[in-house]
Amino acid sequence: MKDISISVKKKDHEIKTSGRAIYVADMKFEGMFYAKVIRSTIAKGKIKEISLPNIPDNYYIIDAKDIPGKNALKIVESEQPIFSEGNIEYMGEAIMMIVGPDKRKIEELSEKIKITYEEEEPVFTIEEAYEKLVSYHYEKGDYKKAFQNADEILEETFITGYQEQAYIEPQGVIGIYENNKITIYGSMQCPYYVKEAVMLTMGMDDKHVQVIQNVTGGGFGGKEDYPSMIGCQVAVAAKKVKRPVALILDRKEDMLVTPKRHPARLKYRVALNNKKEITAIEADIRTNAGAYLGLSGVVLQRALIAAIGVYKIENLYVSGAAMKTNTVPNGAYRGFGAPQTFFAIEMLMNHIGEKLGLNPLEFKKKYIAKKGDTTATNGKYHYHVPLDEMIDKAEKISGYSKKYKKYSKPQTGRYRRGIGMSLFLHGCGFTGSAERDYIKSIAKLVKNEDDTVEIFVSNTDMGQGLHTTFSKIVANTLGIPLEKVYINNPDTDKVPNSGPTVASRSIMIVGKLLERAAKKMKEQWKPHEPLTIIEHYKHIDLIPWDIEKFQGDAYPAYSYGLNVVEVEVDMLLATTKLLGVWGIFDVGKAIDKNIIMGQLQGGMLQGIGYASMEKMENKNGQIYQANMTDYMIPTAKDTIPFNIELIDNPYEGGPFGAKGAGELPLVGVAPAYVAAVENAINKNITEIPLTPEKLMEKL
Amino acid sequence: MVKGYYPKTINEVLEILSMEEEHMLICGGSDLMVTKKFAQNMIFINQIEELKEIKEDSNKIYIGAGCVYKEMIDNEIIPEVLREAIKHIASPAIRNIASIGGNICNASPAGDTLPVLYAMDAIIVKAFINKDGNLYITRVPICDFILGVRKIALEKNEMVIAIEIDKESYKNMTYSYYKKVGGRKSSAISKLSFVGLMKIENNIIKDVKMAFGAVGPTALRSREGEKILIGTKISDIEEKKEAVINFYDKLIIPIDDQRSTAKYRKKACLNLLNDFITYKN
Repeated sequence: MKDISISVKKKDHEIKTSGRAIYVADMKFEGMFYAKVIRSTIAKGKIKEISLPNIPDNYYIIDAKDIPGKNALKIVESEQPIFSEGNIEYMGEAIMMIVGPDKRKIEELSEKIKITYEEEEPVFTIEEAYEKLVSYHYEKGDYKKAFQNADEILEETFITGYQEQAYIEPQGVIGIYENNKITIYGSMQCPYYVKEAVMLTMGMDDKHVQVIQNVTGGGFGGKEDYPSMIGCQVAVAAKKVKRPVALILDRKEDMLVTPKRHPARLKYRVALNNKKEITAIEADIRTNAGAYLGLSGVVLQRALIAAIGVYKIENLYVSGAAMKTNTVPNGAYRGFGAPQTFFAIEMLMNHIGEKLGLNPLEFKKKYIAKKGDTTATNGKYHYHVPLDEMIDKAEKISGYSKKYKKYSKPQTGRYRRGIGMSLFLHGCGFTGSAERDYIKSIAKLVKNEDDTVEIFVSNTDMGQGLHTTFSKIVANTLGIPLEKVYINNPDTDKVPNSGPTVASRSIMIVGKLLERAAKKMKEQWKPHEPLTIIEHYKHIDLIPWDIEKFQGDAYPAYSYGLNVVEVEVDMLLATTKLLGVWGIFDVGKAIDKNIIMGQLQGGMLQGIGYASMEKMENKNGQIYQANMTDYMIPTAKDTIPFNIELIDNPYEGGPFGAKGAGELPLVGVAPAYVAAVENAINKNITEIPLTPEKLMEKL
Repeated sequence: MVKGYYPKTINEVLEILSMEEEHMLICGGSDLMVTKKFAQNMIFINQIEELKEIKEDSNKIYIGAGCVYKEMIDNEIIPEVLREAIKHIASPAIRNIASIGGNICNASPAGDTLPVLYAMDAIIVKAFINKDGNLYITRVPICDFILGVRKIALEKNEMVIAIEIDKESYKNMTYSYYKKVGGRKSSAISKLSFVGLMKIENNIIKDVKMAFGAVGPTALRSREGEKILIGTKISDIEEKKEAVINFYDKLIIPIDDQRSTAKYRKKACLNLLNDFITYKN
């Protein structure tokens, strides 16, 4: 059998390169209506009066009164209305929708709707916010005593900004109501999330709601929860007008109202003993949740679990809160809370190391966790932690320590150089026991009479190559050609619920189910006889997770990463040029080398953007950079080829030893980039994005 | 109903423009298309050969208003510093369709050819047909053509047919300097830009031309500021530097917007100015 990592042509290669892929905006149904959402123009208050123009025949207003079930969006809790019932919590909140046959007429009508409000005092920032939508804290060891006995206490606060997913395809859905059944088509990551949300909003049961994923042009977390919102909105409309209803956001609307990465403020205190060793860390992590809880609680959990990065610190106090503000609700973006925390902990460790006159890496090495050590939450590193080998490899290919020493000497002239390194990990799958308690994944394999095999799962390919990697796992396990295995975009009427496509879980969790199913199928394989195998999730319970106490194994396994970034700073303009970017990753085993490289390069480039140029501000409640001209993501000219190497560290819980890889590459780039700039200019930096405007203030 | 025209000659365009109705001229459309304002009559001028001419005589160069950036980058008649500026505009796809005439007539504060054209005292060549049916050509300096943010001195019956640049304005310069600062290295609207041309003879600054982009309603050039430097000995530049920088510090009044801050724009402009005037030291 060939090594599974050897790359193949992607399953969706032909359809995408030929332009034949059908995205939701390409779909037309007979008699289809278009929808436009009417949104609040204030950040907080009550609707006083709505004055509507004359609505012509064939045009309809859809609002909260049309909702047959609950006016509540099911995400984690169901606190957010589908359409406002009079209360406004953020600018852009949906109040009603106009649907009809002609988009221009809809535009015209929407301009004539006049809404008056009774405005209330909004809050926009973490500093102003006073309401915690959710909070957690945990302890380890005796942090109080460690701080009491400290020889020195250091304090530092870190600030991180918004980040917009900037998927190439804006969000969109189509809802159809026929024979007392709702069908939703759309661009999405999680068909069953949309289905459950629509069931609640429509008051319909499992059998009467169907969700079908279209070819999806990128998600990066941004299509985890929001498709549920627009899915519910078109479902309500489709039932009322008895026609297919399409709601396709344009780029500006998408950027204004869909969830982004949480801005965060991370306060750290560190106790050092008289040998200048870290004895305790206290961290307080606040995120800007926006107006509703949404995914903010689970994002915060990841942020808190990562509080001490890859290190072993005996005494801890970690607390955090998702703060309510009157801004667009934030949500998932690749990394899910971890990029914020890794920026803080890595910069903190660099700063302490440098303060002690050490190469930051030498300082960090003393604290790196090893197999058998306890995690921050008193779980355990059950498997080999390969960071030492990864550091050796990084030194060899990037020359980090030598360059660090060279660039640390005083530099003069317009252009100055620096290098930075970061160490990080990412827990694979859902936090704690959620896979067992909530997700309960089911995967199905069906062998047809012609000995082809179809994969039935609810996980989506959004460009990350899942159709190909899942097919490879099944084909390789069965020992049949890849062409004999196929998979379609999920349709909830056909596929079991194998869970959402989030949390770096698809390959490790669902891929494992498919591997097990394929093994069973192989055992029972009889040529030309149909066969169906259904496989359920089996939990590997190590140290049980207790969410109340925030204790135990937060994840079954971790993927590890190391980044090195080398930059040149132009002292006149405070701009930077990348000289080298290195990434060493342990993803267990690559199911497809090309696909993994695509994931790693793409994620790292998003990390470069997060660190340097992706600036998004909220001005008086509104996103200020709401188009792709003003919100800058790196182009090919802003980057250079990355040097990426993989470490083989197979994990028994994943198919062929594979672990999660989706989020990992974004998690650690920002601290490596910022450390490189610090090295060049010899100043400490505690905030991202480090735009030229920010950097200029330091020069 | 809106009408679309595909004239083949400048004369045909001018005839359409002399009609009563309102018309919009569209060449590459790279600025107009994103505005999505198409509810008016359009005259498509990207197929007119006469507008694509680039030629020179002993005194000046002539650039047809319909020349696209790519053609200009590849043409050695075009001054090096203008080609340098154009290379940093947008992306290859845009540079294949966007025209110099369009960049001028769009009159954006961040139009990237504008500072260079200001520095070279470019002349805008306009044409119209009078009621008697005769063709008239008029010439106006670019600084008088661009009146403000998206405001130009162009009558309803007029069109810009070319740009003329006096060779004296760039040919005998000792060195030229251009820098665009955008949010990224491609497909970025300028946060600021700077162009400088300097002529040094016998160690004395004989001539200097400097302009800034994206830090005011339109490109910013000050002859008064340039005069401070003209006649200065190279060895005395350090002494004059402060006066020049102070002068421009007062002159440049940028704004905060979604792309950058006033503070950054000012600082970066002055740093580039300083770098330019001390370049040969």
